[in-house]
Amino acid sequence: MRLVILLIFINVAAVAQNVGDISFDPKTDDPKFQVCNPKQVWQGYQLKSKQDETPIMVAREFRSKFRSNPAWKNESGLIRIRFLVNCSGVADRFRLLELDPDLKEKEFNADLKAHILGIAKSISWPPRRAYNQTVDYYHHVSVRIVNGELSDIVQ
Amino acid sequence: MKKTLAIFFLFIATTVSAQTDCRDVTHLMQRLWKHETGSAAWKKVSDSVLSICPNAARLWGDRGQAYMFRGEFVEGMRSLSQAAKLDPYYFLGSRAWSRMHYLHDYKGAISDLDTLENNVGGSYYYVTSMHMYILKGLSYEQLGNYQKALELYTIAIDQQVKEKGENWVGSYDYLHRGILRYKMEDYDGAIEDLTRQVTEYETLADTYYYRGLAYAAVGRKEEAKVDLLHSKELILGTGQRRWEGVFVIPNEVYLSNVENALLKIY
Repeated sequence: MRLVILLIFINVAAVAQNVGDISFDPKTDDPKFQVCNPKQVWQGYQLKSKQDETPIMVAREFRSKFRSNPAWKNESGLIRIRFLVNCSGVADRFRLLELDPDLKEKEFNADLKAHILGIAKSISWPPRRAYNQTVDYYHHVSVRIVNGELSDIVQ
Repeated sequence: MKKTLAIFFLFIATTVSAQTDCRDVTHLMQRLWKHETGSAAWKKVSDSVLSICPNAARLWGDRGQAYMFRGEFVEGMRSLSQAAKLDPYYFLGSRAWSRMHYLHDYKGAISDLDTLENNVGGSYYYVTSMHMYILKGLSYEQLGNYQKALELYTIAIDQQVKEKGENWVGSYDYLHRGILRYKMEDYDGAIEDLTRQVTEYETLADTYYYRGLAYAAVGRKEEAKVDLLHSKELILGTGQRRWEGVFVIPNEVYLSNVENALLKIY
């Protein structure tokens, strides 16, 4: 009986997932990080405004902080970083999607991945507002790597 | 035996019902539109309608966009490719558009548009609301092949004028060519195109920004100042600037760009 209830619970939980939701992973995520309203986490694109300049800031941060390494010269493709920003403007639960130039999943050099992730984590992601209060939201940004160099920031 | 017959009739009824539903994909799309795209409720309906109609391109296209919005590019592209396979006339263009905007995969976008052009048997074809050569030109522009981009923009504009008249030129076509001409240092050409764009869309901040830069480049400082100040006013006020929630558009203009240009010139 317990097994049945557990299976139903797992099934409901799986069905209830929105596209792109990120669950807590104790191996990588900060256990102290909390969202303010777990019942409603927004998507960053729902909260942009006409005067939002975040993409300029993000591109500047990646371009100024990226340092190439000769060991990465054979690395090319797209690294997408998706994460959660809570209502206080704290970001966590970063997840990478690594794609080759033909958009097939691959694994990049571990140091290169760590470097990209470090830059993403160092950015002050802005708190966003909806209905006159700051809210939690998902966001993502991608970087294109060509022969180990940062060639483009896709956002 | 009774049980077997019951299952058989249930199967027939389900199949007939599925076929009936599949003739009205718009109805299924309306079921999807009741929910926020990409939400759990949307996903449930998307899974359900695709199990009923796995060959409906629009359902795959909708699913692809939802995944692309949220950065789930593998599933997004898989769904868009399925849509393009089922309806290459519409969804090859849609996939090209997605490659360009969500992934900056300009070579992939050009390849899709070339295939689309072969399928259609000509270039006078719209992708979303844009002449396919404008989209292809934007891809070449982003790859740095300005000459090819200029050639494509010009064909697109001329074709629309010739076939249907000046009013049928796309909303931003002169803007795209004007920006490109500015980048190619053809400042007089840029001013000409951007002035046409002003006539087309008077409250768009982007046009005044780029025309201001072009005026400044040829020493017409006073006109540059007027345009840049007007661009700033439009962004801060009730005017428009081109922007999208889900991606940054090519040659997007921000308030800080306009303010920096004003500082640089004056």
